[in-house]
Amino acid sequence: MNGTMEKPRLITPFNVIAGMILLFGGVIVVLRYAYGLAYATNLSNDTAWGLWTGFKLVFVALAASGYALTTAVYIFGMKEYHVLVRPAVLAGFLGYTLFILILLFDLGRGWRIYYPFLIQAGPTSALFEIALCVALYYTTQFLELTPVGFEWLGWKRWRRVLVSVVVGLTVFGLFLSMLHQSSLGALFLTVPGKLHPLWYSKYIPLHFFMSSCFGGISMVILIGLLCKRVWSHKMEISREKLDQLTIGLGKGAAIAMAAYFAVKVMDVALNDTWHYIFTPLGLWYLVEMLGFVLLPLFLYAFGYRERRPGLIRFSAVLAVLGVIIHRLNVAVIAFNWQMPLEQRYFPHWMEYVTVVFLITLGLAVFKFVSNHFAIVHDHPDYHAGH
Amino acid sequence: MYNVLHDFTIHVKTAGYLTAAVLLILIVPFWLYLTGGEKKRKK
Amino acid sequence: MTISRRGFIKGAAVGTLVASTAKAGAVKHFAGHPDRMGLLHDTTLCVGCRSCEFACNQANGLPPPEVPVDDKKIFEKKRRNDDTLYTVVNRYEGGVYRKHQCMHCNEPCCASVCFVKAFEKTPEGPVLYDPDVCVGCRYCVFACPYNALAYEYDDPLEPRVVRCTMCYPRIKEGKNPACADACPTGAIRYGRREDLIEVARERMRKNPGRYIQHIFGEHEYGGTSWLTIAGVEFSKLGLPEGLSREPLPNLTTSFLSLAPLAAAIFPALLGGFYAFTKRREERAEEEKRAILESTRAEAKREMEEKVALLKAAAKKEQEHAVEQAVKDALREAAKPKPPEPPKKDEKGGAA
Repeated sequence: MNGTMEKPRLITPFNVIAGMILLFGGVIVVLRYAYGLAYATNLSNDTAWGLWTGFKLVFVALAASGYALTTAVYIFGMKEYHVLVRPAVLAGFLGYTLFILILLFDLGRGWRIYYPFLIQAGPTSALFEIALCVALYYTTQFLELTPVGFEWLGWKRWRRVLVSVVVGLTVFGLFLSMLHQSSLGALFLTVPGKLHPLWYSKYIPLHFFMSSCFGGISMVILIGLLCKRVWSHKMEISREKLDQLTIGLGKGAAIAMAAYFAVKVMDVALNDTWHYIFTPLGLWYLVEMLGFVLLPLFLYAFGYRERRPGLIRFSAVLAVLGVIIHRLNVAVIAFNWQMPLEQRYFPHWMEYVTVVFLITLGLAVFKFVSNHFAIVHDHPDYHAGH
Repeated sequence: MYNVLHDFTIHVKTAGYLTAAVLLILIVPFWLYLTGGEKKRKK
Repeated sequence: MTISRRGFIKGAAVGTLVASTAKAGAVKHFAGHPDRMGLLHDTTLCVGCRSCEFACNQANGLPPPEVPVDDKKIFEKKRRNDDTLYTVVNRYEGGVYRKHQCMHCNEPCCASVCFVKAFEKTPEGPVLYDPDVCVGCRYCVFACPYNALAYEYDDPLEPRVVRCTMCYPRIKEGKNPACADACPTGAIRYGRREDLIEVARERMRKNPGRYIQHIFGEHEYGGTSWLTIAGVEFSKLGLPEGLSREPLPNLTTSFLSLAPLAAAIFPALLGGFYAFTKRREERAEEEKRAILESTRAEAKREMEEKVALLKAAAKKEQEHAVEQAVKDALREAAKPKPPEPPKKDEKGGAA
């Protein structure tokens, strides 16, 4: 039984590389604030939202690992996944943190971010609803993680209080997630002329929510793999048990992806956009839908039926890439699709660096917290109640 | 092209119902395939 | 977490009510402010002199456009408005010129997407922007169907959204917008929107061959304050054709109005689901416990029976043994005694 938390080494390959990225990225971030958006981005009056907006959507979609797993464990009663709850929620919390950070980079006057709540509200905007829901959800996730802190501090009573409300927080969190995941899609309802018909639909909020479901489940699969690889000595479940859980998650992901694929097919039927498939962008649409939705869907189903955790993990990678590709398509690639190429937007290298910087930051914080707190294992003083 | 909204709606709703029917039918073999390997629960 | 039936029904009712009142806007007709002003742009009269550009910059305190009016090479590439130029004149196919700027829509998309309500549709007609609350999210720039908004990307501290203001300060004083005053050919005319529509129709009636029989901006996306008439198809002039009459904000509103409904239904639904799952678990627990109990009782009974049997058997054995011993003893006693051997003298025989 692993009661001790050994001190992790400071000089590791990951730490060194991450440190360099964080340093370099940090400089770029400072430059962005010193010289403005024109310096650090290729945004223009024709294309006001670019790579950073695309990744805002990606971070939130993949941070769905939090609500996906807490719903499975606390609402559907699948207690065997309990061991993955804390890594999933931590990853979700960090995902939303990255979302907030990239939002602050993208906003022209990010220091005014509290304005819609305290100065003047614009309730007609989908962005207002997103801001409200994300603020509430961020708080909810934070509360879900406080028991970790309380264990570290030894505040038993506070920990007990927070653990007793975990079901309520989960329900609230699921409700908020459904709202803001779909509202992020609703951002694009207002631009029918600018978003390619294969991606534009009045059901785009539903597309965003449903893809966040399998995005979240797929992330949990990958988080489990990552945690087992990095902290195999600390994680209290065996490799075999994790494989069992992975197989179970594969079933959930298969169902979620099947539902999403069905909705997308219905979408083409209801919007009468079949003929767009036979165009260059239509071909790219097929790549997204067949290569990164239908293929992982089948791999998940096959992997579940034949009990192949390795295949399910590979499928999870494809599914996560599919979510990323979908969000980037909607926000950047299929947007302003009719504009001539000279006017089209291509990200500035500093925009790429910022994204890599943020992802590295998220990974580094995840590593740090998991090394020093009871995330991948139970705190020795508490037996995490089932 | 459709001159009247009504004609357009008829077209897409027909396509919609047909597609939905196909998808609903496809659920059965999908579910059977997915859960085919699960052992019967001992009672 | 328990949701009572009453609570669920109440919540659902409230949610439906709120949602339905929000959607009520979809079936009502909003006619806009009466006496709102507008501008009529007759592209058949525009000669591309760009006086409007210069007048606009001057009225807004901007430096004059870099390229002078007599440099016609500027028309070789299409320009758009930006943070130094609130309006532009472009030359299109067939030597037709059109001035482009914010259309001051009747149901402005920019206003509906702004999450700090920085835009306002004034009764006079112009759509105004308030930089004092703007957070710089640029959703308005992103959403505008006419790409009429620009942003000060170069400014790191106080970037603003910039666009034509329909010279709001001037029209409040009863003056005309600067471009309308500057136009030498009358291609820009300022007046009440309704009157301008009449003017346009009149021109089309008088000169049917000169114009396409359509006023762009009369109904597009709910209508705009800037009305454009032309002798060529509007798609050739860089304007989108075939636009719906439905205001763009409706597309978002129809989805957002679902939120209160979701707020009413989902906690109840999820809470109910959780309660159902918990109940099923509890029942399963109870059953398990009951089975355990009965098994234990059963086992106990069996055990007791066994013990009793054993005890009885042991007792029987004991009794049997005693009986046997008694029998043996009696048998022994019944046997004839053998003659006793002569007692030996204590003192030895041969004396």
